[in-house]
Amino acid sequence: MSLLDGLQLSGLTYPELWLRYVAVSGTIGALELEAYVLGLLVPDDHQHNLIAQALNEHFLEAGQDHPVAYRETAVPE
Amino acid sequence: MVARTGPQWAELLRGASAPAAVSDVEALLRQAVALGHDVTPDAVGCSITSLDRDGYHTPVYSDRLALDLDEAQYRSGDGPCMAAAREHLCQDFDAATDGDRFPGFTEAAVGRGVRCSISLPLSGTVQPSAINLYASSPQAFDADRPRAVAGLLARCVSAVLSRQLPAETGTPVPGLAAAEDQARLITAAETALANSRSLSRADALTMLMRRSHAEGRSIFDLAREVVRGTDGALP
Repeated sequence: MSLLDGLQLSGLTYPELWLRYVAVSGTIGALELEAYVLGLLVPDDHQHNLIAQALNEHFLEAGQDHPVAYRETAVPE
Repeated sequence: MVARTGPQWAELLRGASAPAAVSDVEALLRQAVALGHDVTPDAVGCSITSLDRDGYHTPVYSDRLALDLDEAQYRSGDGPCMAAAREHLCQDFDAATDGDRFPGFTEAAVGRGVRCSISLPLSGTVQPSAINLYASSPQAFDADRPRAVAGLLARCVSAVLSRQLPAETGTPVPGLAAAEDQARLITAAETALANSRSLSRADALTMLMRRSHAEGRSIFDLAREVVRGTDGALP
């Protein structure tokens, strides 16, 4: 599920999503976040995953398990 | 859907985030109205309407069609752009159903192949102002995404034109302090993981997110465990 689909399914507003994004340690502004979700800007993998995490935290609270897709990034094991 | 105008959006967002630093406001506003064509594939024009002591005028527009339709409203004495600026309310216009409301403008719009428009008031400007978007198909601005993109464009233009930060970044935001508390927890866990595993902090955060996904658990619960040193399950 894309970021935009996730937002629409969540019922969160953009300001609510931005607060959740800040909570997972995101640092970009509210306008930029909105542009990423709307596909006007392309986030790097890290930003994409932070936004996905912010949405997925909402879905976890609602009893759903991470429906918004992450991008694969290499992390040393 | 990803816009091919990403660099232009990035420049507009930079300007909206630091409006006092914009050196050429008019050039950035011209770029903003050009971006109005990203709102929906059927968008055919975008403009800004302002009201001053001499009446309504259009200081910036994407093309001749947008200017013509703005001026048709000014000549006929009313239209959605004027109403949005004057009443500070979003105005949706559908040529099929709103002909009685704005007859002069409707005739001009239909004559140029425009079937609908949306006008959004601009905030914080000295003069009552609105940004206007015209489209060649009915209901082109009804779906969530076009409305969201139009709203984002209006907030960016408001910031640039008024030289003020958007409200959400210029005033205290309810809930922000609690979000920042949670962010400090994540950062503490990131730092602990980065130090213990010789990772970058970005990689440490990715590890937390990956674990959250794999276990179906909140990243905040995992972060608490890391900070307390009870993260035996983490790799």
